Parts: sequence; structure tokens; C-alpha cells
Amino acid sequence: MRVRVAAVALVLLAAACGGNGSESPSQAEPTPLPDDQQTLTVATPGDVFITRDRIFLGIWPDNANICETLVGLGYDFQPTPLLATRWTYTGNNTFRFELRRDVRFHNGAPFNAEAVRHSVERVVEKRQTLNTFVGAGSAKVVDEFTVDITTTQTNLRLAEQISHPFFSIVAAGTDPAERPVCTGPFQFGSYSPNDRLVVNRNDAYWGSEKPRLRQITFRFISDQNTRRLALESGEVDLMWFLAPQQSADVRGRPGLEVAPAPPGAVVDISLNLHGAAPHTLLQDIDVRRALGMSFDARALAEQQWQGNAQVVAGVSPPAVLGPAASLVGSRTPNLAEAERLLEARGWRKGSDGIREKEGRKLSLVGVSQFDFEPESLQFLQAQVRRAGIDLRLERAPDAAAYSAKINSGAWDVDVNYFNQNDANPVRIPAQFWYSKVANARTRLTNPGPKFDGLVDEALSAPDLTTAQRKAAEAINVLVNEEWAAIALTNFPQIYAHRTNVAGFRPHPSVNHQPWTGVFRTGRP
Amino acid sequence: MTRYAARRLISVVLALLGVTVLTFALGVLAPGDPAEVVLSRSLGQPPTDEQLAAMRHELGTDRPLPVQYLHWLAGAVRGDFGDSWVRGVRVQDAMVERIPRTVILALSAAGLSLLMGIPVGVVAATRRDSIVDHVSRAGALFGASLPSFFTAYLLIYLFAVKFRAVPVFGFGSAAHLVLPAVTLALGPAAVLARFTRSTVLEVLGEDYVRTAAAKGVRGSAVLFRHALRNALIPVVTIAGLSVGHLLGGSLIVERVFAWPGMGDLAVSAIQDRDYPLVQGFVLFAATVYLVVNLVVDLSYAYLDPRVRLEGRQG
Amino acid sequence: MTDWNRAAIPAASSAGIARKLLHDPAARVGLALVTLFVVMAVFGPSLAPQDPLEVTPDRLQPPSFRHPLGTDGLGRDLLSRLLTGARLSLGTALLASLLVTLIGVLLGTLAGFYGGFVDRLLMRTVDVVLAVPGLALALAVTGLFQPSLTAVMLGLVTIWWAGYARVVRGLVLAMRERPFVEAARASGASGGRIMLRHVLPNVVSPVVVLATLEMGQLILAVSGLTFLGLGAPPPTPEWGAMLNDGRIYFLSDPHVVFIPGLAISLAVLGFNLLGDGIRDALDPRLQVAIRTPRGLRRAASVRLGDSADRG
Repeated sequence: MRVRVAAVALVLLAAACGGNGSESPSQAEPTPLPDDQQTLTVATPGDVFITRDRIFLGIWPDNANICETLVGLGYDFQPTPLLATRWTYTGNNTFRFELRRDVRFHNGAPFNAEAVRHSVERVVEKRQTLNTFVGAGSAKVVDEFTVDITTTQTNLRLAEQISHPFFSIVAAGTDPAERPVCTGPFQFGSYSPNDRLVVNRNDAYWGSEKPRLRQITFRFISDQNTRRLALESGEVDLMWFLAPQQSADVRGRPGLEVAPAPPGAVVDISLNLHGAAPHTLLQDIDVRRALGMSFDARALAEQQWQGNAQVVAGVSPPAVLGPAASLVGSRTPNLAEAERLLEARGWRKGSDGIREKEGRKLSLVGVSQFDFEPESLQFLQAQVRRAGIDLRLERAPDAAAYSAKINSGAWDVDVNYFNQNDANPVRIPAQFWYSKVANARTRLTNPGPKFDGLVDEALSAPDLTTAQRKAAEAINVLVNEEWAAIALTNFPQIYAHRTNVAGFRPHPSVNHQPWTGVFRTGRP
Repeated sequence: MTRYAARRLISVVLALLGVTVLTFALGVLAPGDPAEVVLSRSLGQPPTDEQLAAMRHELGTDRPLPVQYLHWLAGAVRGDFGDSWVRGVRVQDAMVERIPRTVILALSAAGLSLLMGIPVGVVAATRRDSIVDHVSRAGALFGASLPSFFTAYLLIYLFAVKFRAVPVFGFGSAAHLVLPAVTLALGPAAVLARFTRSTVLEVLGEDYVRTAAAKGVRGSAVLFRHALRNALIPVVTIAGLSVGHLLGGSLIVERVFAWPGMGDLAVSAIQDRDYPLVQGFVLFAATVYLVVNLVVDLSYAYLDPRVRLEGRQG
Repeated sequence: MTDWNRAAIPAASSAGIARKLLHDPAARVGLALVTLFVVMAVFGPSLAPQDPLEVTPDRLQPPSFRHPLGTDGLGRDLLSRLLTGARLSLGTALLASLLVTLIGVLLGTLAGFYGGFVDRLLMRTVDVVLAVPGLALALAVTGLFQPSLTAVMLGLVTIWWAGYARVVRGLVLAMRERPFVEAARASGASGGRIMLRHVLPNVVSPVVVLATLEMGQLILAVSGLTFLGLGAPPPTPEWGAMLNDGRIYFLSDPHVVFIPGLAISLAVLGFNLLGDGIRDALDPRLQVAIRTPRGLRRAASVRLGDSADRG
């Protein structure tokens, strides 16, 4: 009896120590399974590798850890040395990267400056350079382990941007669309479209943290409920993108754990500031203020999303702004103030509870992507209704209709979320609100020259700290001065896995998720 | 006979032409820019105006509409349906990959529906107006009118998660086939049950059956030998039609079970504004439908001369 | 053997039909269900105990005294939503049914009666419309417009009318040869008059049966399309949209999905039972002209059992 109690106590102790997937291996950890059982099956939300060029198989947007970039993205959204050990801006639009030595590709070829040059040329040729202003011939070999990258226009954020998986370093003479050959902890095994991607451990991996799993199989399951059912039946060990409304239920199941990722994308509301009639109501800053104050982001995070999200002050995840994140002022909802503002501007509540002025109702057209969960949209709709604002939701049935809608300008409010895929602190403001990135959206959303000026400074800041500061100031103007965008919460990105999967730490950026520390234990 | 066949063949070709024009017209009218869809998918961010212009040129969507249509038609006649804009593979390849999977699923579902529906219909007919009759009819109808994703989740939860009898999702083995086929079979099974019941009832009331019964042939022998054989003809036709519908693919079942088939391909292609793929799929489905109709029409015309005469008026 | 003659016998007296209908227990159930849902559709919004759009903190409550059917993920009363949504789901299907019937009867009668070029043109068009896969065509047409129930209805009408037109044409073709039509012609009556007074009344009964039976399919198709994200914008409590909203709760709070699903299924069941009953009451051998394999093909191609559309 006592032995049994002791055994139970030991098991409980082991469970308590190793049960939380975010622990580092240095603490007391549960017993790993023998090597031939170190396999993991992951359910992802669909086969994302079927694109026109298919050049990012296993690389992006789902990162199977086959390939690596010169600069890595840490859990704190800060750039970290990866295949490059150092980088400096040497002037004349040039960054010099010093490369890591003694690294080999999966096919044994050496990793060197020539390999970097080849990879950069490939990205340029495929036109996937993503606002970095990298062009043909930008990458030059200086010596075996030094590369210069010269951009066609001044771009001081190159080092941060180059942490995006697009800039993965691939081996020369290989075709990434068929079989990516890179330097990562796992190597390409096989790929069956709409079915699975299999990667195997790279035993010759250069990193100090060696991969522990022998094989990872990524299964493509687009239906969220089916992913969850597959997890419950044991056919998969880990799944991505659990709906926040299901997290409490999954937490309650024995043998399963829920692992929400730190903030990596922000759910925000972009406003149409330059629309043509009838989408002119938001040109009054007091109406924008009132709208902003009637949203209750905390209620969204805690009630609707069961505590799986946090209120965020700006449109970028705070971590990417580093210490400057505090420069973005946060707001508390204030329904009374919102109503006062609207009354002061002449908007009186009608009999149906919606405000009107000079015979016109305070009706805003809200758009969103088709896959934005419909219930949460209705939650937000109900919130602003309390202030007398009628938010008419027009969910687009697919991505093409959504783009067409946005480009047409026939909307007032866009509920969306944007991913922070690299260490560039000004990435999101520059892409979606900056007038020099000229497209239909920015023409409608741009909040003016003060914002543009700060983005300019962020883009041309010589060091990351200044860039972060300027980015934070730009976001502050966007959100708190011009009220051109309303930040709500981070986008809840939730993983769920069996308790016998240990060492899994969700990365805030989905396409930088590392699999090296993950291993299987003997627990059921 | 040959004149009739030739006439019907011409009408099939005309209909196919009409189908391609209709599909093209709907594509032109649909909101959204295919170039933008392709680029957003590859880049993960909104494209710039220059990138859009370049892609439109690459896809050929900047040419005048009649030129685009005729160019596609010229290729189609040669058997070249172009490349899928979003998937980057030839349209034929994208479809050929999925057609066998859909065919297997459709045939299995059709077969299951026969196994499920016909016995129910026969039993209901022989015990007409009894409790068994009413309950089985209502039950069959009810089961078939539940939303298919609901049935799918329910079956998965019971048989895959709770009982671990079959896999939850995926394709490739007979075990993977069971749940999706059952889910798809429920609708046609209910239709078959109703038709079987009414046809058997009808045949049972026919003179020759009553004569046989009066001659003293045993009850069940009467049923099985005379009635069922005659009842099966229309029933088999219905089953054949169900296969036709099922071959179109069922989107929800394919997505829930992660069974990548033609239904998912078709809807994805439409949502992606991937017009070569949409045209290819629609043309394929329309050809199958029209050719099957043609073959059936010709065989009846061969058997029943009056049809050929009637056909002249139509 | 084509037996259009028997198929198109003018029906017995309406009293006789009603009596036969009420004798059939299955038809009685169907009638009861249909009546229930029609009442819901007409009076639903006023019968709703609470505001169907009111978001409350009582999320995902199981059925209770205060909320007889429970609440959904936003704390809205499911009973009220169901009652209010009946008008939308059933109304859209009913409107689609009426339009489809009107168009189908009109075009089919014209084609069958006049024959020749008109007939050939119509049949070509019908062939084209029926050849294109239903869901694809409906999606494409609905996608042309702003998502709304009207767009869904238009999309469904586009794919549905062709089957009806074909069936009606077949009926009219058979009737053309009948003695009473020949007689009317001989006596100098105009084409239009013959159509109206002699042909149409005989077409009515099979069409009524067809429409009732197809109503179930239409209801499923409407909720199938709204389930895919087309259809009325949120927060409209249309049943298919309720299904879509509640999908994420399937495993934790199944009543949120089960209740609209059950409503849809029962409505479909009701119309199917009623349709069967009417058909049996009118003429047990009346199979909507389906007694021959060829006739079967024609009638059954009216989107019967099309699982792809049901969603």
C-alpha cells in the first residue's frame, strides 16, 4: 500500500514537473521514451504549400525546421544570431553579415558565403523580396564567411526583415519546390499534397540544442473540429489553432493540454479615413474616438475567448517594440464618454437605439475575412450597439471578395489581424497604413504626415533601439492621436497536445515555431 | 437511328459550348482579381500595384475578354486546359489526382445506399401502413435530412474517438472510407427507400403478380421473383443518378474527413478565382453528365422507336 | 411504357383528396409539422419570449425554465432565435420554390405546347444549366451579389428551375396528343386559351406534389449555402447561420448545433411526408410521370437527393 502511494506520488510529482510544456529541459524532466518511439504527429490547418511556385515547401508559412535564415527570431521578437554570427551596417545601403563556420547542408555541402549569395538570388528571381529592396546582385561574396547585401534603396531594417523564412538559405543545385536541402535540425523526408509532410532528424545539426524527435509528420486537416477529434483519438499528438471557445473543454480532458502562444498577431480595427460618400462618417475624429471607446477588449479576451488572449495597446505585438512598447498608450473602454462625445456631435439616439443626425443613421459598414470567426464579430457588434452605433457586418465569402471589397473603399471598418513575421518593429504599421507603400488599402487608411514621418524615421534608424522607439511613436499616433486604428487583443493562437509531448514552447510567430526541444515521454 | 444519334451528339456539343460560355461569363462577373489572390497566397501580404500588373500579364487576365475565352477554347479543343493559376500545376494533373478518390467515395456511398435503402423500402412496402412502415420511412428521411457535417461529426465521435474502430480522418485505406461513405450514403439511401417502397407497392398491385398469387405461388416467392425484379429497374436508375450527383463531390464531407476530392477542388477553385481550374472541372462534370444522358437516350431510342419520333419534336 | 395518360388524369374531388390525406398517418404527421413550421414562420417573431439579438453573459446555458432551449455562445435565447429565424429560412425556401415553380411551369408549358424552335432553345438551355454542377453554379451566382438571403435565393433559383421546366414540358407534351385537347383545337380555340383552360389544370397536381417534395431539398440547400458563409449578414438568426456559428461548440455544448439542425431536419421531414401523402392521395399510381426509366430520369434530375447541395 505504501509502495503504491509512493509510486502515485512519484507519478504526480513527475506530472507536476514535466506537465507544463513550456519548461526548459534543465529542470527535472519526465523520462523520455526510447529513440525509436520519438515520433510526433502534428495536425496543421491545411496544406499551405500548394502555391503557384511551391518554392517554400516545408519552409513557410508552416515551418518544419528544415531551413534556417541568417538571422533568427527569438521568443521575444528580437533578432538573434542564427546562420550569421554578426551583422553591421557599413553604409551605402550595405549590411555585412559574418557567417557561422562548420555548418553543413543536409547533403554535406558546406555552408558559406556563396550559398548565401545563391539563396538571395533565388528569392530575387522569384520576386519574393518583401519590401526589403533586395535586388539582383545585391548579395556579394566578400570572403568564404562574409557576405555583403546591398539594397537598391536605403533600408536599415534589412537585418530584422531577413529573419523572415523567405530568406532561408538553401543548398545550391537543389530544387526547393521538390526537395528543400538546408541546414536545419530536421531534413526533408517526404511530401504528399493534401496529405502529409514528413521530416527526419538531422543528426549532424550544428546547433547546441540538438533535435530530440526522430521524425515529425505534419498532417493537413482543414476542419478545426476534426483536428480536435484526431487529437482525442490519438491519431495526432499535437494540433494547431484550437478555437479559443474550445480551450476550457479540452483542458478538462485527461491526457490533453492546451498551450496558448504569446501575442504574435493583433486583432485590430482599421478605419476608412478617406472614403467616398456614404463612407464619410469616420472622418469626424470624435466619432472615431467614440467608436474606439465603446469596444471592450477585455471582455472579448476574457468572456468570448475564455482568457486565451490579452488586451494589446497597439497594432503590433508589444514584444517586437522592445523597451519602447510602453510608449504606446493603452486605453480603457469608456462607454459613458463615448456616448457623451456622440451627443456632443449631434448624434441623438433614435427609437431603435441607433443614433441619428439630420435624418442620417450612425451606420457603419464593417468587413472581415471569411474565416474570421463569426460569433466574435457579433460580440463586437453588440458592444458598439450599446453606444448607439449600428455596425453592419459584411463578411466576405472568400479572400477574393474580401480584397475586392477593401479595394473598392465601400466600407468603414475592417476587423482583421496581421502577423508579425520578422523582427522589424515597424513592419505592420508600414505595410498597412504607410502612404509610401502605395496600394488601395493604404490610400484609405493612412492617418497623415505625422505618422508617415515617424515611419520614415523608423525605417531609416541606424540601430534597432531607435527604430523600436520610432515605431512605437508611430503606432501611438495611429492609435491614440489620430484614432485611425483600434487595437483590441492579440489573436488567440492556441495549440493543444497530449500530455506525453514535452518541451513544446509555442513561439509567438507561427512561422518560426521551433521543434528542437520537443520530445515524447512515457506518460499516457 | 443514326440520324437521331447524330442529332443528339450535336446537341451535346452545343450544350458543352454553352456551359463553357456560361462559366466564363460568371467568372468575368465575379468580384475579385485572380492576380491578387495568387500573389497574396505566395507573398503572405497584399501585393503592390506593379506586382499586380506583372501577374495579370503573366496570367493573361489583362487581355480583352473574347481573346481570353477563345484562347482557352482553342487550347481546350486540343486537350490543353492550361495551368491552374493558384496551384501552379496543369489543370489535368490537379484533377486527375483527385478524380479516383472521389470516384471511390462516390461508388462506395452509392453501393452503401443501395444496401441501406432497398431493404428498408422492401420491408416498408411489404408491411404497408404498419408501424414498421411508418417508422422506417420517417427514420430514413430524418437521418437523411440532418446536416451532413453534423452526421459526420457524430459518426467520427462515436466510431473513431469512442470506439476507435476506424480512423478519424484521411484517405488511403478501406478503413478511411467507411465513415465518409456512410455519411454520403444517407441521403440517397432515403430516396432509394422511398422509391423502392412505392415501386414495389405498385408492382405488387399489378395484374400478373396477383395472378401469380392466385395461382398459389408462395408469398415470398411471388415477392422476390416477380416484384423485385421489376421494381429494381427504376430503382437502379435512381441509384445511377445518385452516383452522378455524388461524383460531383460533397464539399462538407470532404473537408470534415480531410478527404481531398473533386468537391473540395471545385469550391476552392471558385473561391480562389482559379478560372482554368474552374473551367476544367465544370467541363469535366458537364461532359460526364451529358455523355451519360446521351448513352441512356440512345439505348432507349434503340429499344423504343416511338422515342425517336418524339425526339424529333424536341 | 410511357403512360402519360394515366399520369395526368384530372384529380378526384378535393374533398376526396383531403379525406385520403387525413387517413394516412404519415401524411398527418407531415401536415402537422408543416403547419407548425408555417405558424412559426408567420408568427414567430411575435411569439419569441426574448430578444433574439440580445447578447447576455449567460453563455451556453443548457435548456432551463428561463431559456427553454438554452442559450448560444453569446448568451442569446435559442428559442427566440429559432422562432425568428423560421421566417428567414423557410421564407427564403418558399419564395425560391414559388419562383422556380412559376418559371418552370411557364417555360415548360410554352416549350411543350408550341414545340419547334422554342422547345429546342429551351431544352438546350435546360441541358446547359443541368450539366453544370449544382453547388458550383449556385456558389458562383450567389457570389455575384452582396451576401444576403436574396442572393442565396437567386443562386438556388438559377439551378432549380431547369428540372421543373423539363418535367412540365414532358407533361404538356403528353397532354398535347390527348383527345380533349384535339377537340378544343378543332373547335377553333386559340393556343393560349387551350393552354390555360385545358393543359394547365392537368399539370397542377403533379407540380404540387413535386413542389412539396422539393421544398425539403430547398430548405436544406438554403441552410447549406448560409452555412458556407453566404446568406444573411450576422447577427440574423437564420438557421443555417446558427449552425455555422455554433460549429465550434459541437463537442462542448452540442445543443447549440443540435437545435437548429433538428429544426431544419424536422421541417424537411414534414414537407417530405406531406408530399408523399398528397401524391398517394391524388393517385397512388401517379409517380409524377416517373413510371418509365426515361421518365424517371427526367423527374429525378430535379435535384433529387443531391447531397452536394445540402451542406
